[in-house]
Amino acid sequence: MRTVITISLNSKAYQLEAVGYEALRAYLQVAEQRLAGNPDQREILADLEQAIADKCGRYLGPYKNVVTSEEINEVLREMGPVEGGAEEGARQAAGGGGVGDAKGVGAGASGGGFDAAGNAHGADAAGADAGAANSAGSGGGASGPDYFGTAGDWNTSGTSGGYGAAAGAGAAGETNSGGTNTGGTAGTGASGNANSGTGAGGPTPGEPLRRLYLIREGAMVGGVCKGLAAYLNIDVSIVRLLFVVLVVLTGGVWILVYIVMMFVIPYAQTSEQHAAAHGWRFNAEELVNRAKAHYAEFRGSQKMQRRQWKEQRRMWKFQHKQWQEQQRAWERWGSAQGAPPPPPPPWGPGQQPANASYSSQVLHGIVRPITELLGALLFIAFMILLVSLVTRHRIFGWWLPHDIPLWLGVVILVVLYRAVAAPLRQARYSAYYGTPFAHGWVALWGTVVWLGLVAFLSWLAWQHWPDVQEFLQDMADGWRRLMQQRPDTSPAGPERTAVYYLAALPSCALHSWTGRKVQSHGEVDGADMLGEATDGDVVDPGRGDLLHGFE
Amino acid sequence: MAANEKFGGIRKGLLEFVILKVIDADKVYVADMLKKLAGTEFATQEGTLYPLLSRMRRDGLVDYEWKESEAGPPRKYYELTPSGRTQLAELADYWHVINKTIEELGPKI
Repeated sequence: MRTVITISLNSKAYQLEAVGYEALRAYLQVAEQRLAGNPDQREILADLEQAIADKCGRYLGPYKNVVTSEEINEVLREMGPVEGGAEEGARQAAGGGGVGDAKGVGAGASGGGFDAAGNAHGADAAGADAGAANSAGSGGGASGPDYFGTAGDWNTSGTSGGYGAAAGAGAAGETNSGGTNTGGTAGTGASGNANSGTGAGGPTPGEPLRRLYLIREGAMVGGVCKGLAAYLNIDVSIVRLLFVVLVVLTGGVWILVYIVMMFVIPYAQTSEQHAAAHGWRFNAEELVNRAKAHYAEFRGSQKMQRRQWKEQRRMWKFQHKQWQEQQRAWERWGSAQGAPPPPPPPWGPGQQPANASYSSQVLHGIVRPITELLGALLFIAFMILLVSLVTRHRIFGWWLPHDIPLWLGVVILVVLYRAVAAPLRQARYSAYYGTPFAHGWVALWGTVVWLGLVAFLSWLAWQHWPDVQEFLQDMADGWRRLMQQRPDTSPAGPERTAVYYLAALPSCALHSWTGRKVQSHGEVDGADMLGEATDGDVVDPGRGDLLHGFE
Repeated sequence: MAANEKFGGIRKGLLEFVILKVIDADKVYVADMLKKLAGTEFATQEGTLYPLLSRMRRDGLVDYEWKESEAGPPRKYYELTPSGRTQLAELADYWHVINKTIEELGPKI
């Protein structure tokens, strides 16, 4: 168990482990000091914060919302020391110590900072320089209490497993922290520290990784072509042309492929992902290497993935429960205080963790249609049971006991359905919020797909199962009986008539539909039925014609 | 003083030239620049790049526009100003001159 601190980076909340937070705070403080006097100080700091936020986002996902201190260290190592510019650095140091010495520090620090490729020798040299500077600094009595405080912080985080505390840092690291402590110019310490981290940790700049993303900027439909073009490093127009040709050649089937790609491939959202979408050099050798690496990774991680998947599901459930509890707490609080604040869902549409790892985003793209399909099937089953219960007072030969009224039976059925469907819905929501494009139109699209599935499956069942035909026939009869009973007991006001008319409509449609198959048994048409249902006198011939149209 | 520290000085001096060149090729985000430079001699980091870019902007060499992004705040999208382009051309010429001079001086290495 570790303490977590919530911070805001450029107006977005992030949760960090306490140790990591200390390291980050120290980094930003040093940056601020080094940029002192720079007219763009605020702006640069905001840029740095945003860059850090992007890098942190890389480590977050729907099932992980805390950045660990190790990850923060990695992020800061990638950020590298902030260079206030040689002049500014020199000026700062000169304020405290001898001018000549200060210049030496500036040169040493910048040289070392540039050796980010991970040269231990460079780090050592810089360390030595910093050491020299520190003796000069302490001779000059440079350290103000303010600087000292920062340096102390810095060291604490460094030694407690924070920034740049890679075990291999060894002597260079020691020299540096010493330099920081006595030298007092936090800037020197910062660059020295970063160097030792680099020297031990190896090369930091992210290796060139190219990934297929959708690119929304300048996209015509979903950004698939744009993303592919970036991935393959060819012109968008060529890809688009190719797609159009493919659509024509496959007689439209390719459109489906496009839609599937739109769902499965994640959007490039952060600038890091944009860079990954455009990638870096692309040649055959790299392609082969990557394929090999991916295969090895795939082989190695299959088991891991299954375990992770299980764990993830457990986490979802847990998160959901937590969220509900939180909401309930808010509600209680709200009713006590009078004015309830809006409950913040941990991964609501507003601040979804859009930075799930690439593979989990793809996984969600695949999981969603499956849950959608299962949901549709479940709904159909529910509707069949419900109709069967209402019209025939039984489900699969099981009669409703006489002491349970019909409405209670319906309620029980609905509750049962909700209970069964809840986990499915849960999975679907998780999939929504796991993918970055869970906005209005996608939700709408989900509904459309769902309705389409219901219609399609009903039609399929109708075509292939005689049982279903019989069932629908029964249902139509049941409705008719229901309609026949009602008007006798109630006066037929105009609005009542309208209600019955509406209620009778599906029955008629259904009947005329099923009627096609059973016409030999006896002709019953929709208008007649409606006539019976409403005693004939309220239906004008025009409406009857309308219903005839259904046949 | 180790040789590669001297190289560091050379690279540092050339970084601005390289950045101008990268931005000239295409309008870019900072992350793009870093990716482009990663793996080259001029691999650099945010901590170096942001202050440098801000100074170059103050010098009127580059400018940026904010570009909306789907998630998160808008990003800076850098491009060269006319004077940046002029300076890039000058630097490129100068670079050729230096190259030539070095090759002509003394025996071939």
